[in-house]
Amino acid sequence: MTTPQNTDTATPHLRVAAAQALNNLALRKTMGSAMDGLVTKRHEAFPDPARENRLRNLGQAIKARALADLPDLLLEFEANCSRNGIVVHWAQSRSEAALCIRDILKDHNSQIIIKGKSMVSEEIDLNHVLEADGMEVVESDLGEFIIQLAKEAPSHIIAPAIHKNVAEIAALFAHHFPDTAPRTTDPEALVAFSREILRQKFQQADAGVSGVNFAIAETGTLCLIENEGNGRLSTTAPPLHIAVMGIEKIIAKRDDFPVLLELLTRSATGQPISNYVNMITSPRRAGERDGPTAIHLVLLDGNRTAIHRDPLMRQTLACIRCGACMNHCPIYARIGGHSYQSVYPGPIGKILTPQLGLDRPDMPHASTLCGACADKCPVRIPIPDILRELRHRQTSLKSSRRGIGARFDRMVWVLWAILQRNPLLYRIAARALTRYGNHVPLVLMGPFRSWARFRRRPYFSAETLHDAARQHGFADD
Amino acid sequence: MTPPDSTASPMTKTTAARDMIIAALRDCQHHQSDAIEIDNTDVDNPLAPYLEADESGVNIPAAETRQNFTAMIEDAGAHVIATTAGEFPHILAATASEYGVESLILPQILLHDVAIQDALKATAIEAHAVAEDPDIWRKEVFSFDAACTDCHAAIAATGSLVMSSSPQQPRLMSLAVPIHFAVVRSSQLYLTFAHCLRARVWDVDNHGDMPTNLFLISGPSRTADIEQTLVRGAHGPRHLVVFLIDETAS
Repeated sequence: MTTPQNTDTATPHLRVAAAQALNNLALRKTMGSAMDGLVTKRHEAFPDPARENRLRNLGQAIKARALADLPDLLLEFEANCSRNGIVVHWAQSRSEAALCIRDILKDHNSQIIIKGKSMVSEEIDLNHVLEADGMEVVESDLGEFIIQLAKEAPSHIIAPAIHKNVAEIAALFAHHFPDTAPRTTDPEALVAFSREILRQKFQQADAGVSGVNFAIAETGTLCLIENEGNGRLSTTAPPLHIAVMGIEKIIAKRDDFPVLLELLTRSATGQPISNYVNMITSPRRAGERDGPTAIHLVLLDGNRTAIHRDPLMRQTLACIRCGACMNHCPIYARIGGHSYQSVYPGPIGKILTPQLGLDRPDMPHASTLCGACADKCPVRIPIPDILRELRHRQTSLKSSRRGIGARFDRMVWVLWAILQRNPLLYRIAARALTRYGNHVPLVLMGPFRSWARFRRRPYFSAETLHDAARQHGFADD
Repeated sequence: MTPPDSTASPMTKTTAARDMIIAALRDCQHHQSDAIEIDNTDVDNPLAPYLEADESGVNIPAAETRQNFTAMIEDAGAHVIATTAGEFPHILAATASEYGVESLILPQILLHDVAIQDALKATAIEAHAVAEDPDIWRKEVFSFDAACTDCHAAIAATGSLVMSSSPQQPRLMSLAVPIHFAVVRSSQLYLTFAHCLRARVWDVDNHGDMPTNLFLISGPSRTADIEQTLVRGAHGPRHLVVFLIDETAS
């Protein structure tokens, strides 16, 4: 599966991908019903607005404090992990992280790698790096397993195969396992089939790779949250467990965990709690019969330190990866995750991806700023404010942004400045608008054409503001 | 800072990365006071939403807590059987037979229990101990029909069992088998996860603040990855049966 790392040449504008997606009726139907369902579930999971606000305020405060204290907490976390027997590695760049993991696996002669779901592992393109070295990488989360077979990228951060319907999945299994796949579109049979295949891999795997939902600094504990059991199996059965996480996943205290756990599961799927919550503090101790004998943890910066600098933008790092923002986004619901062509799609993707240093100037503009995302974010990330700041940074006159759009923006402001400085030109332009502004045919509207096609056009009054003011007795002095 | 020597050992390499990351995080003018002030939010008491009811003297009767736990975990697809300490061996044997179990892993304490041994004699069920050798254990555990474990605690608010890994009950015991029988005593019921943390319910064999693996189980394994359709038995157990032992009964 490909994740765009360098998009100078590769990625078409999101608008292009979105237009294609809108014409894909099967996708629209699948996404429509999936999003409706998740919106309803989240709504039913928070029946009491007072309690919902209280939990969200607390979640926001916990994450804000953890981010404010991040360097100290990271060092405390490392010290506790090391004391417990977890080996901690640090990586500044995505490729450093992927190579670090590859090297740990090679040191342990690992050949078959079983993976739990991890968005960070997608961010660093881990599977490609390991496969290039000849390792066999098997995704164990059912959604990830499906898209691995399809050679696609995940389209949602919680449900990677949400864009696929059951007929497509059945066909995929039949194609890859022609002799054994069940000839049915019954989800139960398909799940049972994948259970059998993956069960073999859990028993054979040399190593398991996972992400981390929350990392507790106070005790050096990795918290993993899941429903299927593949996460526990991947981090328990093989002799080696490698966990990879962004540095922003740290929380200060064990007591901070219950609120964030509840916010995550209720916001993501409407569940009061996920089926399995796994808190890992050390490898196998003397006398224990299972659990990995070695646990390695890779901490990724990947530009998060840069995001951390600014108090507004830092809130991007509060994300607990619940997916509620994309579930409620009217755009995501219609164009699906793949249209964003990014590891992180939807509203969080639009603010995170550009800030991770990936060249995606189109992303902050792919929003109507309706605010549905911020309205539901469990830790109250002000996504529209951050989108506006990203747009502002792009349109600054000193910005180095290239392209026709950038030149047009700068030209508009230069023309505006000329009009404002020159009273005669200003009067001529204003009069022209009052006389002809309402009669401009669409075809002459230039770059405003696509904007004006779907919106009611502003109506220019018959007299300019200056003339109206004079009539009411206001003089120029 | 000089770039790390590419022939240096891995630990040295990442120490340099660590120092640069920490330095970059410290290198901003903002101080702790920039952390957002949020009205009416006491970030130093993050368990308050869960513990407050107790502190105001609200007392929830034990029977109601049991009912809430049962309702929540059954809603997630588990099956709860209320029983007593005296009846338990017989009920376990009968239930396992109903589920067609032929091989059942038991922890030492149940394996050597005479009442359990007698109850199982009357069935086709063969009891097995946890293998001493980890390699043998890893193979065997995937081939047994069921396992019976006890728990540290049960949580009513979310319908959850609290367990941890130990030499007697390894991690895979409640995970790799298709059917998990879990034993909970009525004295082990707590209102919320916060209550369990406060009481440190796992604090039996204390190696430090946390066991190697502390986990919550809230139902049989599930997935909704195929068209949002809920299916049970993805990778973990397909069936979860909870024996709730009422210790107040004679």
